[in-house]
Amino acid sequence: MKKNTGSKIILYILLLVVLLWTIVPIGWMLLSSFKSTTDVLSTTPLVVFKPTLANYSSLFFGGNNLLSYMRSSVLAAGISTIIATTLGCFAGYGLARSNFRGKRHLAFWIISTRMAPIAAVILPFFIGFTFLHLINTIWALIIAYLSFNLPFAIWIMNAFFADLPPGIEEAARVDGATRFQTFWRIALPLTAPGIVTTAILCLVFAWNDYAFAVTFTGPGSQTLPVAASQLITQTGVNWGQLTAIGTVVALPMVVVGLAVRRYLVRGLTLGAVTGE
Amino acid sequence: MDTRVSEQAVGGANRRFRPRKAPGSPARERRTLLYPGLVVVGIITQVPFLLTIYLSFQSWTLIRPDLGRQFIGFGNYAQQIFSGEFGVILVQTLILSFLALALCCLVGLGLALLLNRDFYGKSLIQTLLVTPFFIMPTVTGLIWKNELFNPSFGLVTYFANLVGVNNFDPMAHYPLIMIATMVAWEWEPLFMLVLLAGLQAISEDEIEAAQLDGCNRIRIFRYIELPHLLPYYRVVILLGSLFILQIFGEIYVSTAGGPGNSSMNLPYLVYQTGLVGWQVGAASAIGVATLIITLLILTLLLRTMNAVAKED
Repeated sequence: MKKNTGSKIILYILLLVVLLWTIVPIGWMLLSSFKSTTDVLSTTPLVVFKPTLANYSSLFFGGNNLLSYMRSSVLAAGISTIIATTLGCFAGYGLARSNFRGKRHLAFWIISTRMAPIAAVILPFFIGFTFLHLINTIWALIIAYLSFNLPFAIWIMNAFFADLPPGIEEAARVDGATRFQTFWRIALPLTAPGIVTTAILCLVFAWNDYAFAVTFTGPGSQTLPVAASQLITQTGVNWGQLTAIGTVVALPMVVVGLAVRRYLVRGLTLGAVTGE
Repeated sequence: MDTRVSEQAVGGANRRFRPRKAPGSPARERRTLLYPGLVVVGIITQVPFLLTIYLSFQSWTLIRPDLGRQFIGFGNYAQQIFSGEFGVILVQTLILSFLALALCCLVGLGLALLLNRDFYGKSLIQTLLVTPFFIMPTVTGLIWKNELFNPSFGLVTYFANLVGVNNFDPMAHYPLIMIATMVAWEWEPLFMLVLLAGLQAISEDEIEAAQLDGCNRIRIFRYIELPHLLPYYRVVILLGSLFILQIFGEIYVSTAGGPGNSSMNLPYLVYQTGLVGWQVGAASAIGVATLIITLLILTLLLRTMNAVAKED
């Protein structure tokens, strides 16, 4: 209390250091994306330079239009997130509100399916998708993303529903609500932060996937990460465009994530107390 | 059990219109909700996985069609798992994951303690601090490798040269540490958020009482805050290690596992064997082994943390 100013100064210095470590990588990418090719490669880091939109305009209006990649990314990540979250809510509730022998084993089995390294299931998926004629379609990606997001969604929603005191639902039952109504009208709204958290995490994981996207997609269904990788292999590396595409890929997730940050905090702690 | 499963799964939608013979137990009714998700998980995760197990018993190299595909039993396991390479990479996976997790725990705690105080611009700073979590792993790798640590035009390289460090190329010299740092950079916001929420859940009265009793800051941390944070740590460590044990994108774009194998982890080895070397059988065997090891590690972690939580 007396050494208030001293500790304040230390606090601000620490904050500054931490802010630098967090922000500099992102800020530098953002800055580079507005630089001309020669400025990007300058050995003296340029903070003051003539900003140009050339990188962005060649991304969006150049030969390889980014919009179709964007569409695939939005569709694949969006649809798989919606399916995963919906089924995750149902199954998570079912798991949390029922008691049977082996329930803990079932819960562990569900999350254990999330632990297989992606590379190990890429080939079986590839064989299966070829067999079903799904290769090069958006559905291959949706199914592949579901395979890692759905177990996760069920597991985390289970923790959220288990955290909910069953008394409220019992009261609703006494008042004549059907079982589905208690789930739909009572349990679901009460876990809204949990649902938002689950959806956001699923969305981030699907949006950010590279390994599946590069293997299962063709010209019509390639996603943004694939577009980024094409910049590296075609004619040397175009650093300027690469930073621009990095920004384009990151921006939607950052915006969405920060918009629901409050939910995320509440959601993650809800699960923290009971999470197995 | 099986007949009940199919009956409920099919009749779930219109069960209200069917006369019920006996009032089913509430638990059983609620379990109906579980089946759609469970069935989908079962199909989309277990079918590929069973196929992986099947392939792991085959000798099959796609770029050598002349050799064909044949059943060799545990041959792949014997060859791959007991090779020196697998052991080395397993150890690297553990070091990498442990380093990243430890960094996340420390930095996350530090940030949470900082953000638990009041200062100017707190909301904005907290927002900025969360951002790395939403950056794509491959983009993270690109930023760190090319924007910050590129030997000729990287930002950090520039400052290293300024203070007289020559040949500054940590990506080549300390690849494991660099990847762990990168991963920690991405995941530390999650740790921060959860731990901060844990700190905010501590009642102010408790801390005030301790202060009145003469506890200093360190003692408050040791005897009030830390024990209170343990369940939060448990969740975030489990969640974090689930993903950190599997990192791939960061390695792929920054070091590609090199130099040599020195920055490879097990998932990357699976990729390298299967999708670069096209040894499908061998890669599947490594994949299965990786899954088993991951399961063991997480179970062990869970046990340990539960034991610690009980002790306290």
